[in-house]
Amino acid sequence: MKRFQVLAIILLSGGLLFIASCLWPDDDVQITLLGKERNIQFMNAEEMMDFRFVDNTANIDSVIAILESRVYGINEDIISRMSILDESIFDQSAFFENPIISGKKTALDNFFRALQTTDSTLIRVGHYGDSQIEGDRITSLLRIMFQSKFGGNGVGYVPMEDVTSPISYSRISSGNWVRYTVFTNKSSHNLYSPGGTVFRYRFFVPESSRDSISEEGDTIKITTPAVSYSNATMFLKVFRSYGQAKIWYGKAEEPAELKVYDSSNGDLLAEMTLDNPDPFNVVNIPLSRNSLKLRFVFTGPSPEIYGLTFDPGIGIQFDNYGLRGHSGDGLMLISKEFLGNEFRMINNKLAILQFGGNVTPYVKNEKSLENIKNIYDRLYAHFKLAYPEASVLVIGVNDVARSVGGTYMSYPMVGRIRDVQKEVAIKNGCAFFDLLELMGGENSVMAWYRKGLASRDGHYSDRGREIVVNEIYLAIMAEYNKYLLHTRSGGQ
Amino acid sequence: MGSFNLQVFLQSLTYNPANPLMYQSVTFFLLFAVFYIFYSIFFNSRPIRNALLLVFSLYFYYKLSGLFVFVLIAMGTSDYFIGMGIFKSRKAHIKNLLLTLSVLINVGALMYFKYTNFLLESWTGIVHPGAEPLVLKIIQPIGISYFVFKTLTYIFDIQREVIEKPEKSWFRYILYVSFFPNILAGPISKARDLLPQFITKPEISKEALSKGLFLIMLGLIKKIAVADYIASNFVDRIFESPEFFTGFDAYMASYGAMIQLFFDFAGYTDMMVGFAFLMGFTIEHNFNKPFLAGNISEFWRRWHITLYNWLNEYLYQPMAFAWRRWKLAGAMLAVFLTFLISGLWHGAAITFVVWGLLHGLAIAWDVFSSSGRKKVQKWMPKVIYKVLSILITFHFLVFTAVLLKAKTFSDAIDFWKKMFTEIDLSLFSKWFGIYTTPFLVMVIALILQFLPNKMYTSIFNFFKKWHWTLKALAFAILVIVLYQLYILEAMPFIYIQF
Repeated sequence: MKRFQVLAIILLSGGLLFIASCLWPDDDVQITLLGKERNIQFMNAEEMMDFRFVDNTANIDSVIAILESRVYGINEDIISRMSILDESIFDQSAFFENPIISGKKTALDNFFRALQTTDSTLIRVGHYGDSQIEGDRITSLLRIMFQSKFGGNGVGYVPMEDVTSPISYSRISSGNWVRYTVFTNKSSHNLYSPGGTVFRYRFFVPESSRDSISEEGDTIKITTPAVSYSNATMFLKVFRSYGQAKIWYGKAEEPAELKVYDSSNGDLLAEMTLDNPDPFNVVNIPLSRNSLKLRFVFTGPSPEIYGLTFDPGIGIQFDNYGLRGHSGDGLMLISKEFLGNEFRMINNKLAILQFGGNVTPYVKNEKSLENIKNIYDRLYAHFKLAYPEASVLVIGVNDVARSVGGTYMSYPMVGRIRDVQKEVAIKNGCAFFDLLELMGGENSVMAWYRKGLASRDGHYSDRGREIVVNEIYLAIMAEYNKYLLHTRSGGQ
Repeated sequence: MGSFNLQVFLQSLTYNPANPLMYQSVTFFLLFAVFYIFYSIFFNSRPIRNALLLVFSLYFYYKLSGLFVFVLIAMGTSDYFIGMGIFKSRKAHIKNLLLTLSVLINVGALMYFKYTNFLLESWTGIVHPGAEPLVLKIIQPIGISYFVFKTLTYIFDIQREVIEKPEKSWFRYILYVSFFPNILAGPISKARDLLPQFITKPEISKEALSKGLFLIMLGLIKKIAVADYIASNFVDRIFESPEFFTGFDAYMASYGAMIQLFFDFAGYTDMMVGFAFLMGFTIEHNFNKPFLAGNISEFWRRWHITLYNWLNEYLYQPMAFAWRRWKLAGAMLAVFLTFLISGLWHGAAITFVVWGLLHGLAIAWDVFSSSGRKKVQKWMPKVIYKVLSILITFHFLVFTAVLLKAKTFSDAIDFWKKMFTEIDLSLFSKWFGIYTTPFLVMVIALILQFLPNKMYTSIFNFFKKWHWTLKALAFAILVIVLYQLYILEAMPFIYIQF
């Protein structure tokens, strides 16, 4: 008769679970575990009795098909950078908002005005973001597309060390470089590059083995460090030609020396002293020829080294400032004055801020959403106020999936995060690109994943990034088109 | 209180390819409860009991694979009649002909559903390198690899007269083929073990009840608390986009992959064996602490045991016997072919073929090196030798597990490159700070593997003594606890920092 006992166990446990679901409080059961308040959740009776099947993957195949066709559907050569464009070439992007901030001036007008100077000057665009943009994956495509219209070459900003293998250059740095960021391993000097990083090199003075006396009175050997350095080096191979190389550094209280060699044959290409005590200096590296394979050798006390740039003489340059795992708020550690000064010195006319993926797991309720809203409000304002002569473009959070009981679905608040990002971006006079909407909205990432366009945590594949960059580019160019038409017709 | 919508419920009972019936779902629990009410009432009537089992099993398969349930019935039916034919035939060549026919039908179906596109891709790659291969839209019936192997054991055993009389009842034979606890992913029960259990009256003892419930609970823990947790919070993330991660991440993910694979499969098997126990049936378990294996031969005696036994009995031994004149070379060839087929059986991709071949190679190494290893064993302390053997074997498994997780062979190569060329052990403390919970889950899961069986037996004996109401309460509490992990937000996307 044990079978009836099995049946009784099934029915009793089922009944207990059903009663639990009926009685479970809406705001969950709160307990304190290991000194932390924790919520014990359970499905309510409605969820338990809900047998509807909800397809977590929005049916966005058609959306993706349209986006894919657009990647190859535009003849970019039609666009002439200084001439007025035919309005029919670009429709205004449904994913883009370029708000009017005063009179008839839009958020991107400063940038558009600067674009018209690219025949005689070099303007820069700083692309900020998390792991989505690191390794120059998205920035490099933007760079190529814009440079094909407005001129330029090179790979832009090159940090002395990073966690990624960029696609635009390869770099091997000696082990004595220390990377400080606004995110982790913060610099005590509180001076950072526009991208939120700064580098210093360390020297280990080789120490011969020597005897010492232990606490017990025995003679013991002190071992020398396993690695010792007499200088800091970096091998660099850039994959695009460039017009000029520069170093960004500061606070050289004592002179340091930089020698640059052609790493393919050992020729000395440039030799210079870094001795300017100002907090931020942009100095041309007087290379005797622009080799693509370089070896940088630094000697002497380390100044604050912000990085190198490989740029055209005139045109437009995009700098990749990827901060893996970051939500962006750390960038506010760079004072407005210092950031503004940096932007002025490097002629940065557009800051693109693409954060949000790393906050999605934490935003679970209205309170945390409000907190995130305040952070992004301050971050966008920070960039706007730091250098009002530049424009700011916010690229909203992309769709990110998580596993719920083995099924992947979007984070529940990802749409709300996008909403608050958009709200505060427009409030602060920034343009906004709705990446979530471009993907097809919430629960679209799984469709992108299945088509090989993104991983489930929202990182784009090569094909995925081409689609995204193309849409960003088209959206900006459509606005630029409007700007040109407007200025010709006597507007501002 | 939530309102129950009958129409929606009935709709949910139809086949939806995007929404297969999952063992851990409320729907399955409800259906099993309804089934069990009738099962316990009509338990003493063999025809009704078996009919209930058959209907539930076929319905379960329908919910998984839709109309492919007819493919399953058709293939089962053909073997039912072929089995009869083999038994009745007096002439050896007719028996062989019928056996060949069965193999052709079963392997042919398997080849068509599972390997057509793989063969087309491989052929195009060889003959027209660089050309886009033709890909046919073929949907694979779920569990085909398992029910083909199940039905073949019947035919082979009839032919070898291991089964003296063929199954008379078509219904019972189809029940054997479709029996729901092992239709999805094994264990691969042999006809000679399972079929007789449908004839005799199953016994649901206190021991079987407790074992069944205990195994279902253990399986849920293995699946949800270990396999699914480390998969969604760590392992899958790294394997999906390794380019975003460091060599150290890749290295740790390869450990995680092996642990995930084992706990996922073992968790599923525990549950299935548990369900069988609750209905009074005994099906063979698939695992016996595989990470304790000191070499790959031993590993295969501990991992996916029913598959290993199948391959050994119906593939390796006949081949080794046929090639016995070639001595060691014949045995080695049999090993390689067996593991090549084993790799292909696991999946239609180069990664699985290479995985199978590497395992075949490792077993060949076991054979060739056995005398040398014995010498080493003599001068080395036993414990150290054992620990070293286990460590080496485990790392081989971890290394090859990359092939089972990577999408393509070139992805696996890239992953290995990352593991071996970009590794920086100094990142461990930072990595640990980020992935503390997945790491601890992995370590605890591994430690549990190494605990003595006695400990599990005493826990089970303690559980067995509980009153049934307490057992039901324990099950309900476990469901609520696991629900916390079930809906757990995946860990944030914070990666290793400098």
